[in-house]
Amino acid sequence: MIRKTLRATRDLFLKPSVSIGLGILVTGGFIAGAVSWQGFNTAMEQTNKEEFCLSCHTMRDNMLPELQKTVHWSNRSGVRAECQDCHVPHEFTDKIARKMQASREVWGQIVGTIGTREKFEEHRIVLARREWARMEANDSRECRNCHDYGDMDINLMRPTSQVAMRAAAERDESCISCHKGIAHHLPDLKGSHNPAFDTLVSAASSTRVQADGAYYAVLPHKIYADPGLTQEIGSLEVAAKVRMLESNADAQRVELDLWRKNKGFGRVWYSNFGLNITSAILSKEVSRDETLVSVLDTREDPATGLEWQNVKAEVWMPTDSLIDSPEEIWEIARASYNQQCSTCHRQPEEAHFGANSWPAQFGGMVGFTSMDDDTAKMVLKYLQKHSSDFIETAHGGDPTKGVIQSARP
Amino acid sequence: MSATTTDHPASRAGARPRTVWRDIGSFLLLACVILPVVMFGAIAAYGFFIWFMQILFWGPPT
Repeated sequence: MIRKTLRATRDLFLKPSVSIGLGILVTGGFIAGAVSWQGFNTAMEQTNKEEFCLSCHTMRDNMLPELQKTVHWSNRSGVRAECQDCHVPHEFTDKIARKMQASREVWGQIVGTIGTREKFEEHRIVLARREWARMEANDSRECRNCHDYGDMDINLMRPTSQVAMRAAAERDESCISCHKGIAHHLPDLKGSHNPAFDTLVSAASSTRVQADGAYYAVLPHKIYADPGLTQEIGSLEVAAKVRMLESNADAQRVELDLWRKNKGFGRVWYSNFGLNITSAILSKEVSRDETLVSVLDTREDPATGLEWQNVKAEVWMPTDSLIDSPEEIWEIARASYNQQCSTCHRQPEEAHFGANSWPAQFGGMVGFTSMDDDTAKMVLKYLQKHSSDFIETAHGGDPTKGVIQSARP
Repeated sequence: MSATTTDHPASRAGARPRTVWRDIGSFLLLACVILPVVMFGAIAAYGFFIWFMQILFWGPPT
């Protein structure tokens, strides 16, 4: 069977025609070639149209209504961006590769990966990250097909935009660095997952804990009152320091040695006296429970007049959740901080602010970044822990360091 | 090829009209079906190759 097909193919190509003239054959082949190429180009064009994109209900139902509310859909000058203007590369090779990538999208449409609005929203972060990575790599080339730093009259912009755009133009910054979510909604970053955490989690699972050693939580973790991990009493924040007491297969008992403000329930526990660096949050049922929480020391913070308590508690938490040095966490946080904040402005030095001013500074800016919740918390903690309260620098070498906070939010 | 030429239909008398149709059929098959499919397949293969290289080594196009 195979041999027969092979022979037929060979004959088809190698056996000379005995009855049709060479000229006719060549002419016919020429015409057929021209028609095929034209057909191919037409197909490329047809699949490069907005109507084609919108023929899938996932596009029509999700992407279109979002785009329709933006300036890229309707504006006073009547120039409009269609799907392919931003999402399909214009060069042949990249375009063909992108068209083949679409096989994944066709597959998704068939099995319904993003068949409903809910599924789509859940998946949006994945799709968005893919597209952001593409645009970051090609320096926002699709944007630049229409927009050009050289042709912008920056003076016509709003004053706040002028500052950012001047700096961006100077650096020839990639558009997508700042303008994420300009044509579609931003992904809901809450509960999304920073891939950098995977390395932390695997570092945690290979960390051998020893009794009496100091460890740091790699991710926010729930804490419990019992070894069976059934009675939840609160949560531990990322990079919170604990002392190991004992550990079995599934659970480990750790000691928290933290500070809290002696006010209200005293649920929020901080890592250092007088500094609002959250390390743990307890539920209000147990935060005043003297069988669990023991108060070691009480001091008044001269800056606020608030009384702070050094508190201690022994709690249970799942295993494989701790590492022995916070440096790995800080490395990831530092990378996020440098990358996310420097795209729009020069990020301040960590020690430019005190641990108590960072939350307000950071909270005001984090909305402009694409950090998810956990990353944002980790970066804030990193900034606080490397703030002027901890680090000796040109900013931080002030005489009040370590005594009281010079600036409060 | 020598074996096939001896029993080539054209060498038999009276078989000429059938050969014409055969040749036309082969020509149409090649020009209208096989070669366009091969062209499309080659371009698709090229696209997939680039894409896989992007996934594995190159990263997104710059």
